[in-house]
Amino acid sequence: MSGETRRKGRFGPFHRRSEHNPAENERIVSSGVIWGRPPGNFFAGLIPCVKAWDGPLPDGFVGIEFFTDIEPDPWSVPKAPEWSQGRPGVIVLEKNELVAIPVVVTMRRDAE
Amino acid sequence: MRAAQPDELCENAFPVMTARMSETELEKWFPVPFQDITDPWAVLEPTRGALVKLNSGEYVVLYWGGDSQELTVRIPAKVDASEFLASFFREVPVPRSRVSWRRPGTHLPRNVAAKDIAISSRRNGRASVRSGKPIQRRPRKS
Repeated sequence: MSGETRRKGRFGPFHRRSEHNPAENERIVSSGVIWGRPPGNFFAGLIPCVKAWDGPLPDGFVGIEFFTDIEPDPWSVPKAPEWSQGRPGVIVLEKNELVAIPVVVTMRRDAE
Repeated sequence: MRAAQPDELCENAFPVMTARMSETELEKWFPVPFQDITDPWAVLEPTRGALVKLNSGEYVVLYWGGDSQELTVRIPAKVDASEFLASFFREVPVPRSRVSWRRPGTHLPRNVAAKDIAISSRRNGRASVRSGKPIQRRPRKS
């Protein structure tokens, strides 16, 4: 099913910027998921979560825009939603190390 | 405050506020070593993170984003957020105008400076607000 005919997810739009990781756009579009690891290892309570920016991909930014059926963590900072291990719908690929959420990519802008 | 060892906090921490600040201000206000995090699956942007223990005893997790120039402050779930903010602002002179978000239902303490205050080094110099009108001194009563 193409991106145009799939229904959007219930939550979004969100976006991820990939200036620092140009290969990420293709990985997300081809897999339909976004991955997340623990944000660092400087304290023992860290758990993995997927991170994104809220809202559409701004003009001029490289990245992807997406929707998802998975509700962001209710405690997230509004402009930077997260999906943490243990929340409903968050896929645990490797406990305490790697999680993912399914997404519908609605826009992609690659580096020129 | 002091830098805390990784095993001093073994539970997740949740956002309580965000504030805009430069890297210079970050290093001045939080004189602790930071971990640089660049993995795009771990952070949204190149980020500096640290676990800190305040003098009041609370643990606080700091993330500062290099692109957004914004600090996210996170605390364990069992900590009262408003009481934490009172302790935090007693130690860290972040002006109120820099706070860009705080957890709904929390309150900033009244003693937080409204804006950046620059004190003149000249004797009898006037204090001034960096991004506003100069503070006017009241004339002395004769």
